[in-house]
Amino acid sequence: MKRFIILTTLLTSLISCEKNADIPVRYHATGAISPFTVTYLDETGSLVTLQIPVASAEDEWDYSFTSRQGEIVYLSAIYKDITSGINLSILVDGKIYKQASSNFDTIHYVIVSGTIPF
Amino acid sequence: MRSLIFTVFFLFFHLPLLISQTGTITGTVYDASSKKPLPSANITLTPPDIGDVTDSNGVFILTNLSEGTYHLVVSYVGYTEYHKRMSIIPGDTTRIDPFLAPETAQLNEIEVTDVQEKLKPYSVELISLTMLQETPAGDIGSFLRETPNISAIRKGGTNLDPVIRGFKFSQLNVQLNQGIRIEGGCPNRMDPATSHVDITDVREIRVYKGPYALRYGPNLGGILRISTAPVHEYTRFETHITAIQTFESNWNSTRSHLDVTGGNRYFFFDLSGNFNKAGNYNAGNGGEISSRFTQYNYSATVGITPAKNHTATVSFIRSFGRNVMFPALPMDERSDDTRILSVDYSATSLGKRWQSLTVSGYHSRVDHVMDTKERPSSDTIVAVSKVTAIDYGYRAEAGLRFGRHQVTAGTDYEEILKDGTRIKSLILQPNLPVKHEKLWDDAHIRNIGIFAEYQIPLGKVNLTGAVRVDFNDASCHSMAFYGMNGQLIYSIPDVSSSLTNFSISGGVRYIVTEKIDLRLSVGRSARSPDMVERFIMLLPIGYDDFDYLGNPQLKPEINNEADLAFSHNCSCSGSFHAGIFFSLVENYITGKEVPPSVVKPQTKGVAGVKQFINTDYVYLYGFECAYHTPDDWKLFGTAVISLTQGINPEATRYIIQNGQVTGEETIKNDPLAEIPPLEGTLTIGYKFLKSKLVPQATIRLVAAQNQLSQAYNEITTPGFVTAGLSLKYKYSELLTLNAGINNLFNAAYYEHLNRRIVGSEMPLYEPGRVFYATLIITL
Repeated sequence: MKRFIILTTLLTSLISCEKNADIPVRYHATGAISPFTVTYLDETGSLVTLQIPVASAEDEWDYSFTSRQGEIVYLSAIYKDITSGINLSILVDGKIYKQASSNFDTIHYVIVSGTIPF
Repeated sequence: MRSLIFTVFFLFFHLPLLISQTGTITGTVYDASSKKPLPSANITLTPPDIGDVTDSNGVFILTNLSEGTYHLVVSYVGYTEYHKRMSIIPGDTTRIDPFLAPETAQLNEIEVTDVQEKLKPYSVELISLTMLQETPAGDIGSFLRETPNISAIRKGGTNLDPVIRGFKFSQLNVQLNQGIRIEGGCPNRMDPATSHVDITDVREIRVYKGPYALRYGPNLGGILRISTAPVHEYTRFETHITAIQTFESNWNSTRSHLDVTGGNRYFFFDLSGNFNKAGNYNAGNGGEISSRFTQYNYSATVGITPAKNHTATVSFIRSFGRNVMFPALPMDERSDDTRILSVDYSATSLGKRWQSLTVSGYHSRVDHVMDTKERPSSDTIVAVSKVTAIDYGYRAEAGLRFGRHQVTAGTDYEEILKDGTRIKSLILQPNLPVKHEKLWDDAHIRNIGIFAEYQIPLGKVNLTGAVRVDFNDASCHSMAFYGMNGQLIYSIPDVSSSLTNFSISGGVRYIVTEKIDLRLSVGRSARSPDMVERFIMLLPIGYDDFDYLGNPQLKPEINNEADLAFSHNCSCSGSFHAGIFFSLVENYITGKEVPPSVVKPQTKGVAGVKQFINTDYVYLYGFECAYHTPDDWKLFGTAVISLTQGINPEATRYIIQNGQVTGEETIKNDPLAEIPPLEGTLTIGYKFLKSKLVPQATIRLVAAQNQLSQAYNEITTPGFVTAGLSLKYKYSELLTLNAGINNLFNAAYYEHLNRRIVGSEMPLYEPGRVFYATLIITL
C-alpha cells in the first residue's frame, strides 16, 4: 500500500503543466508637443481610447500591465498638430519589443503592435 | 435368472457401444505459460474437415466421428500450433488437453488476434504492447507508418494522420477501446483522433483493412481499434508499476510515462500519466524544422467484477497539447484540451447460446485553439480559431452461438457536435478591427447503426458475412458567410440532410493444407460525409491552395472492394503472406471550383474556392507481401513490400496563372493525390542470451513517387533509403533497455505524404539522424 501511495504521488507530480507566467508590458509615448489621442489594448483585451493633454515635449505617457505569451499588444496614437510628432514603444519584460515614430510627417498616425513572443 | 442378470449387466455396460457407431473427441485447451484455459481457440480435424471453437472455459467437443485416423490441429493467435494424429474407435470418447506455448512477437508480422478473427477472410493486423514499447515513435500515426500499406500525413513534428491503402480522414474509422470516437477540433486535422491518445498508454492496436469489418461502425476503407484498457487478471490484490523514460537526440525529445495498475478478483484499477516534450528537429540536410510541442495527459480506469465473467468499467482520460507547431499548416496548435469519459459493461459465457454481451457509452470533448501568432504574418494579422468538438454515443453487441454458427449483432450510435469561430485581428490597422468568422455554426451529425455478423467454420472452409444499416442525419444553424462590414458574402439555404446507408460484406477462408490458406473477401460499404465535407465555411483545408466550402447535400461515398490473400505458415521455413486488393469508390468526394462570380475566396494567397461534390467513381488497387522467419530461429528477419495506386478516370485540373484560376482541363486517368509509392522494409536481427539481448538492423527502401495527380499539381517525390539500428536488452523482468539510431546515415528525405511548408513549395523533411534510448522499469 505504501508503494502504491508513493507511486501515485509520483504519478500526479509527473502530470505537471507548463506555467505561462505573467510578463510585464509597458506602453510608452513620448515626443509630442501637443495633445494626442492614444488607443491601446489593455490587459482585459478591451480597446481603450484616451485624450492625452501635453504641455511640453518632456511630457510622457505610460501604461503598464501584465500579460502572457501570445497575447496581442497594440498601441496607436493620432495627433493633429503638423509641427508635432510622437514616438511609440511597446516594452515587453523591460525590453523594447516594437517601436515607431512620426515627426513632421503628413501622416499623423502611428501604430505599434504584435504578439508577445513565446 | 443368471442369464437374465448377465443380459441386464451386459446391456447396461455395452448398450451405448451397440447404439453408437461413432466416437467423440473432447478436451480443454490451455495456455502453457499461465496454465489458464484458452477460450476461442480454433480446433480443426482433418479429414473430414470438422471445425470447432473452444468455449469460454477452453472446452471443445467434436462428436459423430467415424472410425479412423485423424489429424487434430489446435491454433490460437500468438501461440504455436498444436498438432496430433489420433485414432477414433466407435463408441469411445477420447480426451485430450493441449497446452499451447506463446510465440515471440515479431515486428511487422501480420497476426490475427483471436479465433473469430482468425477465421475471417480479411486481414487483421495486431500491434502488441511489446512492439509499441520498443518503438521510439512519439505518436500513433508515426508508429503505424512502419506497417505495410499504412502511411501517414505529416504536417508537423507530431500528430501524424494515418492513411491505410490510400484511404484517409473519415474514410477510416478510428476508435478507442469499446468504440469511443473522438472528433478533432482542427478543420485541417492537426489533431486527428489518434493524436488524443498517448502511444505509451496503448496496449494494442488492431488494423482492419478494407470495408469488411462492419460491426465496429461505419467503415469505408479500414478500421483502427486502439486499446488502452487494462488487463484484469488478478485473483488476489496486486499492484504493478511501469515507468518508461525515452530520450531522443536531434530534437531533444523526452517522454515520461508512469502507470500504476492492480486489483484483485473483484475490482481493478489503472492510473496513468505521460509528459512529452520536443524541440525543433534538424532534417538530414541540416535545415531546422519548426516542430516543437508539449503534450501531457493522465487517465484513470476503475472496474469491478460483480460476478464471474462480468466486468463493469469506468474510464476517464484528460489530455493536453500546448504550442504544437505545424509548419505545413496555416496555423499552429496553441492549446488542446481533451476529455474522454467512458462506461463499459461486458459479460461472457452467459449460457449455451449467449456467448457475450457488451454495452458501452462514451463522451469525448475537444477544446482546440489554434493561431498564427508565431507566423511572419502576425505583424499585420493575428488569426485565432477556437473550436469545440463533442462526440458521444453508445455501442451494444451480443454474441450468440448455435452449434458452430456464430452470430454477432448489435447497434451503435454516434452524435457529433461542432462549433467554432475564427477571430482575425488586423493589428496594423487603426482601431484594431476584429473580424469574427464561423468555421462551423452549431453543426451536428447523428448516426444510428444496426449490424449483424455471421460466421461458421466448415472444416477447411470458413464463411463470414456481415450487414450493416446506418441512419445518418446532419444539420447546422446556418451556412452564411459575412464580410467585414457585415454584408452577406455567400450562404447555403438548405443545410439539413438525411441518409440511409446499407453495407454488406462476405468472405471465405479456405484451408488448402495445414500450412496454406486462401482468403477472399468482398464488400460494399458506405460512409456518410463528415463535418468538414458538409459544413466547412471557406477555409483552406485541402491539399491544394483553395478555400473549401462544405456541401450539406453530398451523397455517401461507397466502396466496393475485393481482397484476395494467400498465407503459407511453416515452423521450419517461416511464414509468408501475400494479398491483393481492388477497390471501386463510387460517389467519391472531391472539390470542384466555384466561380469567383458566385463566391470569392476569403484567405489571402489562395487561387479560388472549391466546394465538395460527389464524382462518379475512382478506383484503387495494390498489394502487400510479408515474410518472417520462424519464431524459434535465433537469426531472424522480416521482409515487407507494399504498393497502392489510385486512379480518377476523369479529373479536373484548374489552370492557375498569377494566383488565379484562368481555366480548366479534363485529365483522363489521373492518379489520386496523396498515395504513397512502392516501399519495402527489411529487418534482420539476432537473439542472444535466450532473447535477452536482441540487436536488430532495419533498412527501408522507398521508390520515387512518379504517379502524380495533375489535378492537384503534385510534384515528384524522390526515392530514398534509410537505415536504423536498435538494441533491446532485457536485463530482468524488471528492467529493459531499448536503444538505437534512426536514419543512421542522416539522409535528407521526405515522404510523399508529407505536406509542403505553408506558403512555399518546400517539402517538410523528415528528421535527420536520431539517437534514442528507452528505459522500461516494471515493478
